[in-house]
Amino acid sequence: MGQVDLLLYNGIIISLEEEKPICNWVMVKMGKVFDLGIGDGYKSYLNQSIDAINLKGKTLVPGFYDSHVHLVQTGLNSLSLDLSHVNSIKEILNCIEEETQKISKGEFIRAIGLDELKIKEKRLPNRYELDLCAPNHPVWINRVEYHTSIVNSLALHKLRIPYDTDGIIRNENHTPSGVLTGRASALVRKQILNKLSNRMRLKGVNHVLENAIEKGVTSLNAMEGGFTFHDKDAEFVYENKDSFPIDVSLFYQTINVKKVLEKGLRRIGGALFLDGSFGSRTAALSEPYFDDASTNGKLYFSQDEINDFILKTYKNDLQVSAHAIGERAIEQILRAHEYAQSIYPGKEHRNRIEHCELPSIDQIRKAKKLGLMLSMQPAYEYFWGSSGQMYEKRLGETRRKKANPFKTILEEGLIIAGGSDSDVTPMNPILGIHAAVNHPVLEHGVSPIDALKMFTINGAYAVFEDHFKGSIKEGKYADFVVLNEDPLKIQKEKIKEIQVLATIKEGNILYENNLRD
Amino acid sequence: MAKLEIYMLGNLKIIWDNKPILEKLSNKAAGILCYLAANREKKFSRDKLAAYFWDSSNIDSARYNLRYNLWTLRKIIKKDENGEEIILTNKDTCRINPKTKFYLDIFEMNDILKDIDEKNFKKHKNDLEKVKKLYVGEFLEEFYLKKCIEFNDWTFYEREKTQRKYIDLLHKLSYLYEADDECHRAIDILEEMIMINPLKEELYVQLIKIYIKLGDRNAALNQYERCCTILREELNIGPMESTKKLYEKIKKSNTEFNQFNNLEEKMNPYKIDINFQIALYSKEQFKGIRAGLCKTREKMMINNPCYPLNNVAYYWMSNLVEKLIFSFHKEDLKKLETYYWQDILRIQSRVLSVDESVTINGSLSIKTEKTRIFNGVEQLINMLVKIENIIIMIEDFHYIDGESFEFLKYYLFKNQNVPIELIICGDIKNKKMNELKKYMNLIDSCK
Repeated sequence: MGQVDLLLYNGIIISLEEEKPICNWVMVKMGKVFDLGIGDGYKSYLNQSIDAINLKGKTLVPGFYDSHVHLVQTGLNSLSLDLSHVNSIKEILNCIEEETQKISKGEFIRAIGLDELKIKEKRLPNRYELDLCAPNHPVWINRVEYHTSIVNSLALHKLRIPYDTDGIIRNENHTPSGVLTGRASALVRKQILNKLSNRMRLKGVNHVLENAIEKGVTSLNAMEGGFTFHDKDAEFVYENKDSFPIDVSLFYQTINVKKVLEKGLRRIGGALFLDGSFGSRTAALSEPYFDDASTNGKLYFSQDEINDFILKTYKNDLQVSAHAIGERAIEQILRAHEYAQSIYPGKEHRNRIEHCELPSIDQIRKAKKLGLMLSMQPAYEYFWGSSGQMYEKRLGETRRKKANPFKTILEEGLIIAGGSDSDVTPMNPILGIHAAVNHPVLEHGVSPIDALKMFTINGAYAVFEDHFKGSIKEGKYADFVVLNEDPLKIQKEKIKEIQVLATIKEGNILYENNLRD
Repeated sequence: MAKLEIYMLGNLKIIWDNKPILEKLSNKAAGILCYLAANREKKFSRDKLAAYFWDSSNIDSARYNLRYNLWTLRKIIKKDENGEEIILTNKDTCRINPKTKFYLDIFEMNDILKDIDEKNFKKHKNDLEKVKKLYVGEFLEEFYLKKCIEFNDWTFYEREKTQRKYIDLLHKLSYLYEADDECHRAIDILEEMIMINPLKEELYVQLIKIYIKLGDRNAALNQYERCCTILREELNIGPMESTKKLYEKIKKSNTEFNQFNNLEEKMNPYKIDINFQIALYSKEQFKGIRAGLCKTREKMMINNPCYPLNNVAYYWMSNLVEKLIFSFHKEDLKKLETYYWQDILRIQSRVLSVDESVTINGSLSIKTEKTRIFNGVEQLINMLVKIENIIIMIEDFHYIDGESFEFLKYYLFKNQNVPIELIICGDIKNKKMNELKKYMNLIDSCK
C-alpha cells in the first residue's frame, strides 16, 4: 500500500450511497476516494497518511453544489458601493463622496441596489448632485432591478450615448438629467461592463469563491452573459474556469447556439428570462398580482421564439436551461420541450427549468414526462415565503402557499438541484438545506436527507457529474464538507446554525476552521 | 498669413498659423475659445463668462482667472490674415471679432447641410459625403471641464445636435447608395449606424433587404439572427412582427446566392479568368496552380504564405500589406485616404514609404483598434482590386494568426461581390480551414 494523502476517521460520514450510506472513515489518494468504511479499517492507513484527521464525531458530507450562481455579477457587486440601505439623497451623496477616497480619479464609481421608493425624497439623484460629490470620478448607479442607470456628467461625457435612443430622461433645459432607462440604460450598462477589466472580474470572483468555499461549496453552476449581464462575464468564466479553486460549470446565457458550439460548450441558457420576478411583478402568472390587479406579469418570448430556440438546442445535443417562475412561463417552456421532443424524441439532456416557483401539479407531471429537472432556490422561501413577506404581498395568501412545492415535486419523481441565485440570496447551501426542510408551508418541506441531496448528488446529476461527484464512493472525487453537526439528526429548526468546519476539494483542504479541536 | 482653425468634431484640435497649439493652452482657455468661436455672433459679459467657467461663489478670483486665460489666448492667437484682432475684449465684454475669418468644422458642416434641399436630397450626394468626412467623431469628444456645469451642458447639447444631424445624414446616404446600386457602400453606412446604436432594429431590417437585393440569402438570414441575438441579449425582447415576417419569407424562398454556377470551368486551375475562391488541401495542386498563374501573368499574384507563428498577432495581414505596397505604384497607393493608412500603420511600418507624414493617432481600445485595422486593410484591398485583379495565394493556411484569420472571415463575409480571388491550401483537419470555407464563395474543396 502506497502513501495515503488524507485520512478522515472517527466521523459520521453521510455518503448518500445506498451501499455504505453511513461510514466512519474515508481514505483519499490522488484526489479521489480510495477506501471508506465502518469500524477500525482505517487503522492500517494511519501510518501511511500525510494528513490524518480525527473527526471526533463530526459529520462529513459530499462537497456542496450551488446550482445557480451569477458568479461574475456577485463578484463585481461585492466590489461595488451598496446603496440598498440608504434613506435619503444626502446619504447617497455622502456614500459616493466617501467612495471617491477609495477609488482612483477617473475610475468609475459603481453603485448598486438603489431603490428610490425606500428613500424619503422618493426620487433618484440627478447628474448635478452627483457632480458635486464626485467631480473627478465618473459615477454609475444601478437601480435595484438593474434596468435604470443614473450617471453623473463625467460618466455621461465618457459614455457614447446615441441621443436618438429611448430612455434618456431630460431635465428642464433638455439635456440628459443623468437618469437613463430602458434602451439607453442597456447601452450604457453594456459600455461600462465592457470597460471593466478582467482583473477586476478576477478580483471580485476570487472574493466570492473564497466565501463560497467557507460555506462548503466545491462545485457551482455559473449563469453568465446575456440580458442584464454581459457576455464578457461568460467569456471570463470560460477562459478561467480551469484555474478556479473549485469546479465551475458555465451556462452561457445566450440564444446564440452557434457561439456556444464554437466554444465547445455542451450547455446553454441559465437565467434566460422567459419571465421576470415576483418582486418586480413581472413573473408571468395566470392570474393578476394580488397587490396590482392591472398586471399578471410578462412573457419575454413568444411561443414560436422559444420553440425555435429549444429545438435548436435539441438538434445540437446541448443541455438547455431557462428561467421560468410563473405558471405561464413554466407552461411556455414545457410546450417548447414538448415541441422539440416531438421532433427529436428520446434524448436525455437533463434539461432544466430554473426557479420554477409556481408550478401547477399538471405542470410538474408534464415536466417529469418530458424528462426535465428543476433547479430551485429554497432560500427564497426563507427570505420571502413566510406570512406577511413578499410572496404574500405579491401573490396573496392562497398562492403564497403554492410556491416552491418541493415535497410534491420530489414525490412526483422529479429531481431538484438546489441553488442560491447568488447574489439574490447568499451562497450558503446550509441555509438552502434549512429552507428546504423548514418551508414556511409545512406540506412543502422536505426531509433533511432530500434537502442534502439537492445540494450534492442532485447538483452533480444536473450537470452530468453524478458518476464522479455528488456522493462519497470509491473512485469519486474527494470533495467533502465537514460539519459540526449532523444535518440529518439535528433539530430541524437549527439546521441553519450548522457550521462548516472544513471544505475539501479533491483531497485538498481549502478551508479549515476548528476542524482539529 | 496666420489662420485660426478649430476642429471640434472628434478630438479637439486648434491650429494657429498651421501649427497645433492645443498643448499651449490650459483646458479652460481652450474651452473659452471653443465657446466664443461657436457663438461668434454673440458678445459675452466678462462676469457671465467668469461665472460660466469658474466657481461663481468667488467672483473676484473667477474674473482674474478669466482675464488671465483671455490674455494667454490673445498672446498666442493674435491677428488674422487681414490684420484683424481675433479675440476682442474690453473692460466688460469679450467676443470673437465678427469681421475675422477663421475655420470651424461645425460651421462648415452646418453650411453644407443648410444648403441641402431636404425634399431633393438625392441631388446632394457629394455634399452629404463631404459632411460624412468632416464628422470624424462626436462634438468635443474627449473634452470635459470639471466643475463647469454650464459649459459641459452646452457641450452635451451641441454633441446631441451634431450627432442627430450626422445620423440623419447616414440615413440619407444609405438610402442614396442603395438607390444607386452601391449596395456595399450602403452596407458600410448601416454597419456604422449599428456601431452607434446596436439596438435599432430597423437598421438590421435595412441590411437584410440589401442582402436580399444582392441575392445573398445566407447573409440576410445571418443579419436576422444577429438582430434577434442582440435584442434578446440587451433588451430581452424579440424582433417586431414585420421583421419576423420578412425572415419567414426569406426562409421559405429558395433564392441562393451563387455567383459561381459553372463549377467545372473553375475547376481548371489554368483557365482562371473569373472571380473565384478555392480551398485546396493538397500542396501539389496549390503549387501547380501557382506555377500556372505565374506563367499567364494576367493578374497580380500575391503569394503570402503562413508560418507557424500563431502567437504573433497580425503577422499575415502585415505581410500582405507589405506585399501589396511593393506590388503597386505609389500614386495608386496614395489614393487611399490618409486615415486608412493611419490605421494600417499600426501593423505595417512600410506604410511610411507611401506617405512619410502618416502617424498613429491616439490610443484605442483593442477592439476599436482591431476594427479600424480591419477596415483600413479592407479599404486598401478594395481600392487596389479596382486597379488590377488580384489573386492572393495562401500556403499552409492552418498556421495563420488569429487576427488575420478573423480579418479574412470579416473581409469575405462583407465583400462577397468584390472580385478578390483567393487560393488557399492547408491541413484538412484544421478547424480554421473548415470555418473559412463557410465565408468563401467556394468553387471546390478538392479533397
